[in-house]
Amino acid sequence: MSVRLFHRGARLIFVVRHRPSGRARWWAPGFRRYDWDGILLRPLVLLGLDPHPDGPGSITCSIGRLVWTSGRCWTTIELYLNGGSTTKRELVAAALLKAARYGRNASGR
Amino acid sequence: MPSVRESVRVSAPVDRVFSFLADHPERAVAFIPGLNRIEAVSPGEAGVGQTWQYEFNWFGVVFSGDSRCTKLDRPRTYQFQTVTGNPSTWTYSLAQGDTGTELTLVVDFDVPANMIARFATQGALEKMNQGRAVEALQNLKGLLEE
Repeated sequence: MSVRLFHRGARLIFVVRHRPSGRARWWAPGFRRYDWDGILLRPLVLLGLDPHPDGPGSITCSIGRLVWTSGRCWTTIELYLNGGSTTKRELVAAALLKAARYGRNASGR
Repeated sequence: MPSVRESVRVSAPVDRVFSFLADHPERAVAFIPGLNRIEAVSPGEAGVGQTWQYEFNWFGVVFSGDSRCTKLDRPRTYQFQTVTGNPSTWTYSLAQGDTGTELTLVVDFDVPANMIARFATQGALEKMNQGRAVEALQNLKGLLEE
């Protein structure tokens, strides 16, 4: 057991824009390169949203699309969710944000 | 040990609701507020004795520890315990109704002394946990019904 004030290995993610309609933009500063495919794909698989990578920096699922762009010291992640109800889009966006901050990929990061 | 109990009606077949809850413990991250990470699920197949590690942000304090499935009676009862970290027992009871699934969640939990100091009274903390249980079930309903 451990008790802390912060999650071990969490990534710094700022919510730049968030709309209930399913549009969101997040900004992740840092020099480290992450496997965003693996990190963001897993929650979509678990929620049964039939995700599949459709090119570098992009995943399409049954309720929309995620796109990310990496620069030298930052990554911008954008959500375009337009299927399902507003409630479901909010919940999926929240699950993806948790994955972006705390999720690990197959290599453990 | 304090306890919270909440129920919700989900417009989905009981088998689907049970499968969503029990077949991949990692899914709980999507509907339980404050639960931010589940990993090291072993074995992969759901069953009594399945274990995993969790990280839970409980009103500003991050607890991490191990959980173990303690009861799996498909599709009626799913129960697990957090065996290290903040000790608690989570029991989901399901019943097929005329218009969907009647789902009840009971959480028995220990209240760490440092949390009581932070929130002044045990009653206040229990009320906050009750709110989280309501939110968890509403989130689950939202994910399953749409």
